[in-house]
Amino acid sequence: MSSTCVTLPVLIEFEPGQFRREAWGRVERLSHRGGTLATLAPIVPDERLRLSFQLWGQSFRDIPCVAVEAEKDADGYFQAEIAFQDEADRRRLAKLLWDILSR
Amino acid sequence: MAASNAAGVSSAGVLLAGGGAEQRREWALLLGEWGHGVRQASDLKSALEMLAQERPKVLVWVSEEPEDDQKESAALREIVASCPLLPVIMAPARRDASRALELLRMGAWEVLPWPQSQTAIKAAVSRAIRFEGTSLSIAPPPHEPSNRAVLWGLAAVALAGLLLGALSVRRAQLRREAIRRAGAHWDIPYSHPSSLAFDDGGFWVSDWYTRTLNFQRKPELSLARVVPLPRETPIGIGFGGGFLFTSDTRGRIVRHMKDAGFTPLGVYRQEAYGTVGIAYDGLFLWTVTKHTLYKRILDADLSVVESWPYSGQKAASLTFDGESLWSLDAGAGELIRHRLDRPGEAAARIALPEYKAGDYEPVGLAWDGSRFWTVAARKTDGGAGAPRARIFRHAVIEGQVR
Repeated sequence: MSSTCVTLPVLIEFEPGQFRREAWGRVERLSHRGGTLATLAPIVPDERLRLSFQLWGQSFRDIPCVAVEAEKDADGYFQAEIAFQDEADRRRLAKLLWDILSR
Repeated sequence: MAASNAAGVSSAGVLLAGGGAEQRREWALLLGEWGHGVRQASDLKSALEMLAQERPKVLVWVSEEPEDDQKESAALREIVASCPLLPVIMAPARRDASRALELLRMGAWEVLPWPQSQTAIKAAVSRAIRFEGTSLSIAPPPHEPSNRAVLWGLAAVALAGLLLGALSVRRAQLRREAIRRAGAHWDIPYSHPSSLAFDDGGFWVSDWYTRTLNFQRKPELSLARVVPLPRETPIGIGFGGGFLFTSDTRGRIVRHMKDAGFTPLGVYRQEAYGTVGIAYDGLFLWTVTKHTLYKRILDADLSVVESWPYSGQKAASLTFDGESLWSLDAGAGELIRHRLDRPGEAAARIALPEYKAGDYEPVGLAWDGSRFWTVAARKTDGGAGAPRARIFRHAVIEGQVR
């Protein structure tokens, strides 16, 4: 099993109707279904987001996801449990994670 | 900017660098009111000088102008190269998400959105101060066979019955065993490893550039602790007799207590220039330089009992597996076994395929009770984002596991 020792920087875009500028954060736990996102940008439960990131040389762009849970931690960071919405994205990520873990 | 409250007061040091004098004064006041000890550096050069003298818990780089991208990048690159584990918070003078992501990928710990609010500054500094190294945790996805695969599977089961099932189980067992026995590697977040030693469920890696000992905990090899060795530039480490022994570039071997900070207990008087490997067999302390193997007793001088010319091309490290000494020959990319009764001879040579391509220079060797591990630094640049250093777990060698 192989592992990098950094968290994953992600670009966060919000629903167009929210008129919010794009933000950024880090995914600290990642699976093909979703993960834990930490960011300074306020996120509320059920909020719909689009994430873009690069993992192991592959680009993932505008991945639709929903914040299943979200809360502000003691430091003031927003911690959100996110779930990826698109089955095609999930399958692509699953394949990549298998590749990473089996290296 | 006015301070909000003093909750979570900390005396931890923040090094505030870049920006204009007035800007830094405002930031320092704010951070000071939150209880952070603040030192200031007007530019990159003075920031690097301060970092060499005393390590803060966080560095905040403030940009003065929105067009400071080049200066920002240069500063971040230098600081990360100098102190790879120091959280660096960038405070650019404009809001650009793509640029923020670029800085994060370059190694910034956080990029504050412009205009910087007190809430964001406080949150980032507070979180960064508690930073002790983290890893991206990846959960393995379950196998999700396609419908076609399911149909084929069902048909196969129907046709072949229990016999085929039994064969499949055996095959899976063999595959799992093959994976268990295979080699693997982990990238590490510092760039200048010099030695490796196993102790207490993980590996200690010395980094000569940052003068630190870094504990990578098994099984994920996540970075769990960093211990500075401010007075040494470690090039060899080894545990034995309840102590940690280190060798440094000044030719000293230092004995350390195995406490939280590896308190130095004494420096041996006998000089040992170029000691790159240290191993303890329960009675003698063995050391190796590039071309010579030494057997020492643990007296006040660490006296040499005997020495032998090294039986490989270029020794890089040494370890003891409970029966034999093993050295890492960086010249040939091999492990060499040395019997304790005839240490000058190579009792066995085992090539390490991981070093065949020549991308990595092996610098440290350790034995964890069942197999060999090495740490290596990348020889070539490898391009942006390429790992600079790596820990290898080597495939099980026949007859190795007793």
